[in-house]
Amino acid sequence: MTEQLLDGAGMYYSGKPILNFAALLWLGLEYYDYNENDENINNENNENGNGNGNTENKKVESSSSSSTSMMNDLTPEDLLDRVGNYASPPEAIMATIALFMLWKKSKLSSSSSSSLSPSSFRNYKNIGCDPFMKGIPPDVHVQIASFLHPRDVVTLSCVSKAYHTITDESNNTTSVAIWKTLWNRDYSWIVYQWTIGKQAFLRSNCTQWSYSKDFYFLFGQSYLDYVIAGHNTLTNCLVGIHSNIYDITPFLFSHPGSPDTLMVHSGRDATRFFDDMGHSTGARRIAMSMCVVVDRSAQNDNNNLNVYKDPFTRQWNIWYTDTDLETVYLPAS
Amino acid sequence: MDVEDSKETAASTADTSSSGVTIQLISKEGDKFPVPITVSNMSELVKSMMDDKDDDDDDDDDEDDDGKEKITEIPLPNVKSEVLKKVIEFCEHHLAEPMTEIEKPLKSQNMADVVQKWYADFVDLEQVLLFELILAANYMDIKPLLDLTCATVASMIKGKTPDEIRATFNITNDFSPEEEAQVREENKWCEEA
Repeated sequence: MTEQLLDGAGMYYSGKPILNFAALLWLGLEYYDYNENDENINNENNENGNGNGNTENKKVESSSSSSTSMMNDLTPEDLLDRVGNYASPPEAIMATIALFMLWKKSKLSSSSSSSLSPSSFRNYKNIGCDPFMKGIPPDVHVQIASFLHPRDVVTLSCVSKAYHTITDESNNTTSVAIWKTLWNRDYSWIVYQWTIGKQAFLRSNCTQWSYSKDFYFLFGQSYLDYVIAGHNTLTNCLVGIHSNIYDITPFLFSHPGSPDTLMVHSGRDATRFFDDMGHSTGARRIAMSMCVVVDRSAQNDNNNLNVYKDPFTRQWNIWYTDTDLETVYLPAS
Repeated sequence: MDVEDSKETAASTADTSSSGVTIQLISKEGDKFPVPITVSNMSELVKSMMDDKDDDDDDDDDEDDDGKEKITEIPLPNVKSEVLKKVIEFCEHHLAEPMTEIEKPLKSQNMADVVQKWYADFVDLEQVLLFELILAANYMDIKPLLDLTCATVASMIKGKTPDEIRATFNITNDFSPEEEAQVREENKWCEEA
């Protein structure tokens, strides 16, 4: 079985059969935990709202006690303050529910328009939401970033200190969450849906990168290896060149070199070998006819440049694919 | 409001099941907005408050049933009338014409290219109101509205240079010259794009 997988992954076998599962756990599962935790807190809060406020989570307990047992001790103004805390939606929800119950109670017990008449809401402090980042909770930042091209997110980091912290700092949870979300959006399908690709990925050096932004670009640089890993048989032979995928199965025996030359480099990104051999324009034209998948994101329409950080020199590099499906590298500075 | 009221009564006479129940949403200013429960249930917050209310309703049934129609009031002290009106407008339209899922990442800077025309027009707002809508959508937990508004902000960022983004959102550049040089060096390709 292992043998098959190694064959399937083409040349990608790096000589380290020990699979780095921890990396995958970090990648996928922690991200999903992030969501699940949110949901859990919501659920717990909902339960508490129903009256059974037993929970071991301290933070939740404090908010639950405010809504149940201590509800009568809190003034409406206290509750309003809690409602105003946008940064922790579950707590805000709890406070609103408590406020609602309090209000209902006051309405039922006496007909007099008591302390919680609508007019008391008018005194509530205004929410400062003019600047983009102030007053907007982190999960909304992630949500906004999830609509952006990675290049735009990196552009954001040049705007101001606060933006830089949110989008480009390895110890900032929002920044980590943003890049994980982008990775999940753009690349996670490769690892989750393609077993051989997953195996190839687990053996790669990518897994050693800890910060999600570095990881995103490093993965983007080599994702072809994982997508087409395994497609290197005589009947199914795919090769990645210039970030596009070529089906060279019908060409195997027409190749001036032996089929073996192609087989060795198929099932992975072979850009370097293709370029190093100095293929003629004619050869490139033949190759273009076999192109089955064009990576549009790599083409330079709309100035769509791609970037990656070279893991060895720690330099940012730029590349794009021109109209002849060639990869053009731009100097870093 | 009157128009909405008549719409409500029409709906409740036509259908006395749960969909005919009217909820009063109360804004920060104290204005009441009657909406059918199908509309208000688009907000997970309101929905969870309703579920919560149903559970401890047993004791109060007598009092509630005295009224001819069952009207529940839900205070939303974080949401201004102006914003709540937009939220309800969105929810009502979403029931009639559900919003198509917005493709990520955005294909275009123009919202009309990524979502139906009505929704593109809906978010053609001044920024202050747009951000209040985001906060309201986040607070009331209305996912399609949060998607739409966040995508709108993203469309204002897409493809712009740092300077243009600063101008768009009126942000002051608080980098020192040395810091800015360093950040630019790290992200040199931004400017060449």
